[in-house]
Amino acid sequence: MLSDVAAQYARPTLGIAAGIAAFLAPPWVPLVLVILLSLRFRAWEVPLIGFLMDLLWLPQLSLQHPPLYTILSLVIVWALEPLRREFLV
Amino acid sequence: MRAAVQMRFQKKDSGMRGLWLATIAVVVLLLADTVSGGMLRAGVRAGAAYLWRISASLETSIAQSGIFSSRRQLAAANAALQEQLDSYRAQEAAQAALVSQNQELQALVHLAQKSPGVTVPVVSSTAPSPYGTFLIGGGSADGIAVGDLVFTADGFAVGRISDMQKSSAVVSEFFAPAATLEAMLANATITLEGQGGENARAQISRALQIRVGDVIVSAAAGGSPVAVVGKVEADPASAFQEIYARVPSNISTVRYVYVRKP
Repeated sequence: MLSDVAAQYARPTLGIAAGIAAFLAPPWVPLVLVILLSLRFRAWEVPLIGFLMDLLWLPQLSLQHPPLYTILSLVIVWALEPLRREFLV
Repeated sequence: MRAAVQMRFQKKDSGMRGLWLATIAVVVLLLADTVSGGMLRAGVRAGAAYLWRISASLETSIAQSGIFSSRRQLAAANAALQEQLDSYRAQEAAQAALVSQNQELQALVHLAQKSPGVTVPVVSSTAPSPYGTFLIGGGSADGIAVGDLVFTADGFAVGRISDMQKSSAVVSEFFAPAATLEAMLANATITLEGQGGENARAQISRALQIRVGDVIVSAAAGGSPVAVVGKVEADPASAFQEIYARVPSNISTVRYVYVRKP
């Protein structure tokens, strides 16, 4: 388990890496980073990173093109809450 | 001990609060972007296009500076460049005559064009998009409209404009993952299923004689070529054969595309 000091640096590092990866890396890279963030932290930046991906790359906002990354990031961060509550704090 | 437990509960509450606020903010921003007709998206993409241009020029500067080259590599590169320079000087004399001829030919090509278009730079990488899209540095200010076709220099249609702002636009690739495209190959209609990375596959009758390199055209691209056959897989026990198609150009290295009306 990460010590508090390590966790203090891990969260901003993962968040910044995921934000940069949204611009430059293949789509699975921010997805992995978002999952790692959500496993350990109640990371408010996860939904924002998912939204950023859709703002950058979504062809059109419509019923045929739903904002999948935004929805996926919200599902990941909230679905992992029971796990965080069980094993953390 | 009690104080430590209390502090942990306070941290947990503020964590939940932050997460709820972020969730609500994302929903509100999404609605605001929809209602405003994509103004938020336009701003973010304009900023991103600017950042990509800066990072591309930084990358070029660092590569050209030779910081990461060893001494031996630099000496070898220097010798090769000197040789290249001598060769270019020799060709320079012949270039002048070719330029003059080219100018005359361009005037003829312009007359022959059925629908004029515009050449625009590709401002984003194609790898990061999960939707098979990329950004170009041209928009409504350049006469581009949603639905316009996008071509590479070799005349292959790679996608169409799906979203647009004043000076940038989003191109949806024909072969985006899970996208389908009706096309013609060897006088037969086929349905290409996008696999991402400018690749697609289709299932066609075994009776058709298909060769690697055959060109596939599509009415959705105004009758223009969209791909070539890269591989054919025929199982003698099956009534069908699988073809794998690809766009000849590597989109990730293309710097300019041509946009015209369908």
